Amino acid sequence: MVRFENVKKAYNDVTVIEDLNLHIKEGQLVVLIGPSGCGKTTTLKMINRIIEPTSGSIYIDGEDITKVNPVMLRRKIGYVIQQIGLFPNMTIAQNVEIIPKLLGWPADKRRKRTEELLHMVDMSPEQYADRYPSELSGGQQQRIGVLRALAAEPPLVLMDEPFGALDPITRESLQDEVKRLQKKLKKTIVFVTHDMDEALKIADVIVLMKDGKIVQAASPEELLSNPANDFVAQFIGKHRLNDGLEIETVEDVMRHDPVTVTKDIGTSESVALMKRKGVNSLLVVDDEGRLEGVVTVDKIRKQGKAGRNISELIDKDIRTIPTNTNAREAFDILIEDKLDYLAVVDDKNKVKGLVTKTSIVKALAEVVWKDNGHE
Amino acid sequence: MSEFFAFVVREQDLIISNMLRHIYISLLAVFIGTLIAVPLGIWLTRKRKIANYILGITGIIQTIPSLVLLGLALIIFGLGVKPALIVLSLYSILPILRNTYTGISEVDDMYIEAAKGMGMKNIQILYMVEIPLALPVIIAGIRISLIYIISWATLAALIGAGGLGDLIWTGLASYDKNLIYGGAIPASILALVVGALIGFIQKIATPRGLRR
Ligand SMILES: Nc1ncnc2c1ncn2[C@@H]1O[C@H](COP(=O)(O)OP(=O)(O)OP(=O)(O)O)[C@@H](O)[C@H]1O
Ligand SMILES: [Mg+2]
Repeated sequence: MVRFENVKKAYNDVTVIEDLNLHIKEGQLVVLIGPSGCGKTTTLKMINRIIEPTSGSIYIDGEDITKVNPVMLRRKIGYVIQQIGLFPNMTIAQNVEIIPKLLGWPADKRRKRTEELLHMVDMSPEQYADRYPSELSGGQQQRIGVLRALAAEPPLVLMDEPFGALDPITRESLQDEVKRLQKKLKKTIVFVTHDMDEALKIADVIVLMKDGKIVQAASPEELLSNPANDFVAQFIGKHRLNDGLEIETVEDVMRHDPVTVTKDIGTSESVALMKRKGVNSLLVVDDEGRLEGVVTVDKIRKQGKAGRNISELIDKDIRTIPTNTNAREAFDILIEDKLDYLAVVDDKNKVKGLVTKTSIVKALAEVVWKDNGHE
Repeated sequence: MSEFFAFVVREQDLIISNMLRHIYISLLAVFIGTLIAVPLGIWLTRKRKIANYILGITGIIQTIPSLVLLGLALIIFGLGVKPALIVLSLYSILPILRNTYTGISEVDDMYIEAAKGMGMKNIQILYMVEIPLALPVIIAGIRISLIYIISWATLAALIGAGGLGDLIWTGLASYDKNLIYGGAIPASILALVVGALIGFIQKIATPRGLRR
């Protein structure tokens, strides 16, 4: 789809891109990442000729882009700039319809396309089409920025840190959205970021750059398990897998069979259960398995009355984490907050497991010994 | 005071016809000034190097006392509406030029880059992005200009522009207070009303998304 051949860019005597060779395949989401000033934006902007290389060639679908009129070239390439850049004097619909309009689409076709796009990101056209950018939240504006780039169905989309200034939650949902749109619409996307989390989450290929050169271009898995050198290892830092061990999410380190009870169980019965299972607390769930709280042996001993059920002794203040939480993160929470356990729940708040220090140590030990056994 | 009102009632035809002429001269001068200043201002944003130079020159014109300029125009073109219009148009250029230049220059680069990245031609960037975004500032320049010109037009009456200035100067020459007031008061009211009117137009012309 896009091929860089020996591309070099220099400003006066300062070389900012050095002999860049890169092949971006059709349908891939390629993330350019690296420290500030390494040349990500420059690389991106050379694709739509906002910046012209000093030497070397760039081909799109085999065609040298210097042979194409830049205006025509750009109309076939979606472009999301870092600061969004929605035109404040135009409504959302007008913003989204710019390129279709430049391409001469009839008004009803444009409108239909806009509505379709807005639906795609769950923004109702009735509500948003005729608003101005200043009347949208930051996250909504960035969505529109992406839609605007997709409007004329370009096969190739360039995005320069499109979710830079967003809070983590909005950011994640937009990452999911971009990934989903890319898969659904089969777009080739070149995406610039300096956030490794973001890159790992959405990339098919990660291109790690430093000082105008590509240090490593590889799939996220490959990058994590086989960093080309110390710089890569350092850059992926905290994400680095434990040399191929398969501890990733909290599911790998939790107890899968936490002892659960419903709140109508009697106090003495609970204590007996704890003894039998060798635990000092029980998770209380409702009929559907959704977490309601926890009851501890201490509390039953101190406040429990014989013959009563445990419903008044439930401690609702229990720390929960979702099943896809990073194992390391769960460990950190346990240590930092001095907790004895974390309940792992799914998105319906159903109990899936329990993380304790013991369960983590067990999981680690298992992996270590298994690995040693192979050697 | 009642004497002045009697004068106004008696001479209302004279005052009204001079006022209409005053409006006509001022609007025409600012119109010509706009026709020159807006394209020039846009062009200057493409030629940053000579921009300061040209803005400097027009700034100097602005500082020449208007009476001197009027005198010069009188010597070169003689008496009449034409020399008055030339001088007033010249004067009207600077505020519009300056606002056009800064208005367009201050359009954030990100909009230009977004527009370019979308495949707009330069001319499309100009009329779809730069001019709309700079419009409130440009209109503000026209407004300032018009308010100035309405007051300067009273001076231009000296070389035959006609208008409310005629009443003032005749009144001064013959020491007729009523005539002076009859020219000065409508001229002041005119400046205020026109200023407010253009402010209103400016508000309407500003897209909702740009209002703050
Ligand atoms: N017009 C220019 N003139 C001179 N040097 C430039 C110019 N534009 C960029 N550079 C330099 O080129 C290098 C690469 O810039 P680029 O914008 O591609 O970096 P980046 O990787 O996108 O960084 P960031 O993460 O900070 O956005 C930088 O060292 C920058 O200073
Ligand atoms: Mg950048």
